[in-house]
Amino acid sequence: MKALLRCGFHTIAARSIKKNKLPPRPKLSTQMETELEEKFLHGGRGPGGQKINKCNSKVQLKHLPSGIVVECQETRSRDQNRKLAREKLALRIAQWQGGGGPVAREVALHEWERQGKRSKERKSKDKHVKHQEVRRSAEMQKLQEEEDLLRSLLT
Amino acid sequence: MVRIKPSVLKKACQINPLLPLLLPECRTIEAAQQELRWIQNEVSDKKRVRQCCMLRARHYPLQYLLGSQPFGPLDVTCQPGVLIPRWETEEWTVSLAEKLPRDMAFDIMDLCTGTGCIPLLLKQMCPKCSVFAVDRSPLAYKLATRNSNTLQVPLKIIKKDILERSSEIVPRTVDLITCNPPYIPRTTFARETARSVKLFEPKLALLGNKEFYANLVDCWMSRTDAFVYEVGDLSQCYYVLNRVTGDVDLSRKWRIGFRHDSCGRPRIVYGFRASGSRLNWASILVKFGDMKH
Ligand SMILES: C[S@@+](CC[C@H](N)C(=O)[O-])C[C@H]1O[C@@H](n2cnc3c(N)ncnc32)[C@H](O)[C@@H]1O
Repeated sequence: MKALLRCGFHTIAARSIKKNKLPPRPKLSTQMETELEEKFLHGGRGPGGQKINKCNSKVQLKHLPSGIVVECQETRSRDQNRKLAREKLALRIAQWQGGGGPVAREVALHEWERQGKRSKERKSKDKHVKHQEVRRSAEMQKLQEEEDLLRSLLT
Repeated sequence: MVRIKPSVLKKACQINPLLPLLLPECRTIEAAQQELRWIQNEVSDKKRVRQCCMLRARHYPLQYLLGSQPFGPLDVTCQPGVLIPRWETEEWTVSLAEKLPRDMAFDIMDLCTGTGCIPLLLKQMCPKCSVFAVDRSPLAYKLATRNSNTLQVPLKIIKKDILERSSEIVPRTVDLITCNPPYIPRTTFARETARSVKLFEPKLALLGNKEFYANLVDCWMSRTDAFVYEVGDLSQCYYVLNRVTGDVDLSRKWRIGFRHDSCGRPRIVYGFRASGSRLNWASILVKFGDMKH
C-alpha cells in the first residue's frame, strides 16, 4: 500500500516539471568573458614543481563590473573547476542583474529536484547493490597490492 | 616540517574521525575536508575510503591511490614508479597548447615524457601534428603507451636514454621540443623535497641539475626550431641563456625567454630560431613569457 502510494505520487508529480524544459542555465557572454579576472590560488610559498605534489586546482573568478567573486575547488581538475566557476558566476551575475532574487531556472530546478528525489533514491540503490560486489573485490585487490608495496618500501 | 597542533587534530576528529589521517599531508582542516570529499567522490566503498586515508597518513600520494591526475581536459592514469604530473606542468602545457596553430601539421617531440601528459595534451589540441615521446624508464614507456591507447590520442613513443643515445633517436629534426627533465639537485633533495615525493616517487624522474640543459644546448638545439624546458630554479634558466649568449653562432640565431608559474616561481626556459623556421615562433610565443635575449 505504501509502495503504491509512493509510486502514484511520483508519476503524477513528475509530469508537472520536465528537466529538458527547464528555463536555460545562465551563460557567460563573450562580452562578460572579457570582463573577468581569473586567479589560480595555491597555499603559500616554499618549494614547488617536482619537489612537492599538491593538488592545486582551486580557481577564483572576479566579474569586474559588479565586483562579484566566486571560487571553485569542487574537483581535482583545474580545467573542470574553471568551467564550474564560470557557471557559478553566470548565475550570480543573472541574480545581480535581476535585482537579487532567484532566477527562473533555479525556482524550476528546485521544484524538479524535490519531485525527483524519491525516485532517484530508489533507482540508484538498486544499481549500487549490483555493482558494489564487483567494485569491492577489485578495490580490495588493488589495496592489497598497495599494502605490499608500502611494506616493501618501508622495510 | 612543523608538527600539527593537538588542538587542530582534536577539532578535526570531531568533524570526522578520518580527517586527522589526512592532516599530515593536507596541513589544514579545510584542505583535509576537501581531499576527503575528492576521495569519497571516487571511492564508493567505505572501508576502502578509510584505507586510502590511512595510506595518506603515511604520505602515500593521492594520485597513486585514485589512479589518475587531471591534466587539462585529460584524465591521465598514474602508477607507482612514474612521476605524477604537477599543476605547474599542466599550467604551461595548457598555455602552450592554446598558442600552437591548430590547423597546421608539424612535428613535436617531448623528452622525459613520464606518463606522457605533455605530448598527450599537445596532440589532443593539435591533432594534425606528429607527436613523439621519449623516456628511458620501462615503466614510463609502458604507462605512456597505456595512456595514449586509453585516451585515444596517438603518440609515437620511444624508449631511449636522451643523454647517452640521442643520436639514435628518430626523427632527426622537429619543429618543437618540450621537456620536463629531472631537475632537483642532490644537494637540495633531502632538505627541500616533500616527504611523499621523497618516499614514493622515482628518483630517476627527480634527481638532476645542469646535465639535461647542457644536453639541450649540445644535442637538441641543432635538431629543432623551438624548445620549451621546465626548470626548478632560475640558475637553470640562466645556464641555458648564458650558453647561448656566450656562443657567437647560437647567439645570432636564437632568441631566449623565461616564464614564471602562477605562484611567481621561475618555471620555463624557452627559445626559438630568429628566422628560417617552418612556423613563426616569434609570433606564436609572443606572450608566453619574457624575452631575455
Ligand atoms: C620530471 S619527470 C617528467 C615526467 C612528465 N614529463 C611530467 O611532466 O609529468 C622526468 C622523466 O624523465 C625520465 N628520464 C630521466 N632520465 C632520462 C634520460 N637520461 N633519458 C630519457 N628519459 C629520462 C624519467 O624516467 C622521468 O619519467
